[in-house]
Amino acid sequence: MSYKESTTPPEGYDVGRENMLDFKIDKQFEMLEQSDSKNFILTTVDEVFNWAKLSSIWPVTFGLACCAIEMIAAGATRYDIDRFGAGAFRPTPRQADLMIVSGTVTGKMARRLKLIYDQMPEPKWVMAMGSCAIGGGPYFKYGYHVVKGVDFIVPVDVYVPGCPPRPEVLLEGLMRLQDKIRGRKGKLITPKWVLDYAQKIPYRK
Amino acid sequence: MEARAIYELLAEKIGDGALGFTEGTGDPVADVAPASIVDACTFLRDDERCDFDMMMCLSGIDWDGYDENGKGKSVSILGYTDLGEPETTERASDGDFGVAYDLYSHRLKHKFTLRVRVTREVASVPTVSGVWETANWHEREAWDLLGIRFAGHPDLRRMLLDESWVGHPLRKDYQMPSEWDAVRLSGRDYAKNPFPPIAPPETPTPPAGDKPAEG
Amino acid sequence: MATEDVKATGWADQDHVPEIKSELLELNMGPQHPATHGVLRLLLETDGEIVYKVTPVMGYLHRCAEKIAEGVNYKQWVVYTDRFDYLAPMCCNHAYVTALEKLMGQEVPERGEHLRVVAAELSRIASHLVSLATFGLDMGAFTPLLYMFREREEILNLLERIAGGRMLYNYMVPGGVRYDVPDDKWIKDVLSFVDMMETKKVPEYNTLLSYNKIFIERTANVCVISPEDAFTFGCTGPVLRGSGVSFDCRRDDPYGAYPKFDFEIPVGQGQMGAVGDCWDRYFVRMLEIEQSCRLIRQALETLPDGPYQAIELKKPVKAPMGAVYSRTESAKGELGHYLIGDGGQTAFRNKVRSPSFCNLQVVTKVGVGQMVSDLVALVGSLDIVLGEIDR
Repeated sequence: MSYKESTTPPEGYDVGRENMLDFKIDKQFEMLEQSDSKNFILTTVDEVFNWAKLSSIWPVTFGLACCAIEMIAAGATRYDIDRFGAGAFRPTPRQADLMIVSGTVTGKMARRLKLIYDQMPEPKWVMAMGSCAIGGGPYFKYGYHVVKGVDFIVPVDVYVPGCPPRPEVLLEGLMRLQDKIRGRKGKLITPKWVLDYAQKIPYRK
Repeated sequence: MEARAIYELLAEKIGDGALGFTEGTGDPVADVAPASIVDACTFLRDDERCDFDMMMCLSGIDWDGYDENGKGKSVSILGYTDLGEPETTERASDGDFGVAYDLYSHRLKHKFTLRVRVTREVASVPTVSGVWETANWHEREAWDLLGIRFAGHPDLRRMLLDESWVGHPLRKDYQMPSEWDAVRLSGRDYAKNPFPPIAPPETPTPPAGDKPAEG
Repeated sequence: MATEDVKATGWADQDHVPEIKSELLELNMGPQHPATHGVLRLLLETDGEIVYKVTPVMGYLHRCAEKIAEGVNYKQWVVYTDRFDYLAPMCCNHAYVTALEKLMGQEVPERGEHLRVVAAELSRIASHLVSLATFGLDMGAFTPLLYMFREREEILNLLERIAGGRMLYNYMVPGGVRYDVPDDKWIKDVLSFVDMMETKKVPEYNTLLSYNKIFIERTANVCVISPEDAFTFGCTGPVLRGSGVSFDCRRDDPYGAYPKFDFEIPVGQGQMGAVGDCWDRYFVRMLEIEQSCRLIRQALETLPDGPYQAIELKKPVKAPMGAVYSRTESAKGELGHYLIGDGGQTAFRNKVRSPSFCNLQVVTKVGVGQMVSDLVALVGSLDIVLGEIDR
């Protein structure tokens, strides 16, 4: 039985999520167009600001390793990250909102990465792209120069798994980031299968 | 030209510096004394019959644990444990260092391999960066990763790692660092806590009254 | 009074030169810079726009691959070769398994060799497309990138169908390749792609970028590398061929199935300026795309039947004692492996001679005396990949 056919949502699924994907401001716009007065809408300042922020997330041009090529591919034809308002890759961090850590972070690079993060103006977000940026990836065992996870250095908002992740996965990560900016309510859920799987790895015992 | 014929030319030129010629599994190798490596390389580059105008590769080797007559090595290198901590050992290291030079001639289209061997205490070989420019960076890399000094090198700095790095990683007894320059290099112990809370790093505090908007 | 004032400032009197303290400006290019193709850092000493000294600083992507080679076994390390030159991973796989088979004395079935050639040449085309696109990007032409990534996606689709991965494949194993051709339609698709590439796309790129007047102005007669410099700095690949030297490992030191096929080696002719300038290095890559198409067509049309693996996939691989240096022609140049076996399942030492590492060193000589903007053209035309330099 597939997920769509089942009557109860799977464990850990946020039921209210569908309702939160759209803004109240979008509905206000619709009502405005349908109404005769066409005068004003009512909303909160936060919501307008968040709406503006998520519609134009400008990433900084910061390619580190293999994943950078997939980041470029996501920005080029066929995938076209510009559809989500995140296509304006900025050469300088001072104009950017999002840092996509695309690749392996080494000990020598860690300080520079932190510097670039500090140069970005608030509000700013970080996406860890690929297994190396998430946790060292294939360089865990003998990687004397590899930082085992970029979250030792900067706080990470979205983790995009893969080695390297396909551009579709990067776009999915971008949409999850937009959800986050929207102020989607809900708690961080650790799926049960992840905990079970972590227990089953033999060498952990 | 065959490798053996080149070796005979070379032995004629440098005399006692030529230590032997071995053919077996893999490429034929000419062993040369470290003191005469620059003479040998200059001769091989300038002589009409050899004309090696390009050095393809220079490789530093740590022979620690390599048994010339045995069946495989006894040394296994150190890494990080599954819990992300550096492994340690009590073993004392021994064995020589070696450097292999692979040469090629574009005109005559033949290859040749030279090899020198120095003891672990000396660990110094004369530089050939005056013969081929490309040796400059290869030697810097060998110094960086293996700790073989190249006497007379114009600019012997570390190549890939930082100047403040401790140790030479490609040595067989190298112990992995847990931290360098306040950057943590050991892994996270996922078994204890799969999803630890992430502490935000120190960022410069904005002036009072100018709080950044919530992300 | 007025004349005295003028004299004091030194304008009226030509012999009087005021002492102005001047020094060279140290300028950092990178490691986060849009024109350095990754995390390369160039330390420049400039006088205005003129560069007096270039010092490349690398290691920002040092991923310890040679140490890992001593820890994991031969087959596991194929995964790491993918990540050297992540633009042409098949070529890196090919280089490593060639070195390992040379040490083991392992024969490869004909079908396996042909499939390796097809995969490596497709990968080479993809790498050259990225190289040309980013070179155009450095020179201020953004549009060709969109066109060239369109064809690159086609290649990635084709390779995904045969190898399973989109970008990094782990396709070649000692003794053959991992998977056979999925179906006959794949062969037809590759052949039609190659035809389309030769007849339509390469002329399109030439119209878009190669013969563009602004592009020629920026690249012709800029940063000329002489053949002597190329030899002594160990340059290989399109950099050496751009200087007018006809050298290619596929022909001069043949390996695999390459001796069976008929192909030419394009060299720089100096069409737009001096031989060995940036435009020549660029155009050699464009011509190599056509030659790769020829190779793919020949390899697929004469694809023999039979097995494609000599060793079972799950069987561990052992190599005897001994040392070999084996080299192949990667997309960037001569990719060599100095491999020492000790009789076990793990390499004792595996030094990788990467083409980008040697090609980049020429910057320290040729970059001197150039403008900063021309240095961008030089680094772009060398087509370096930092994963391969730092390893």
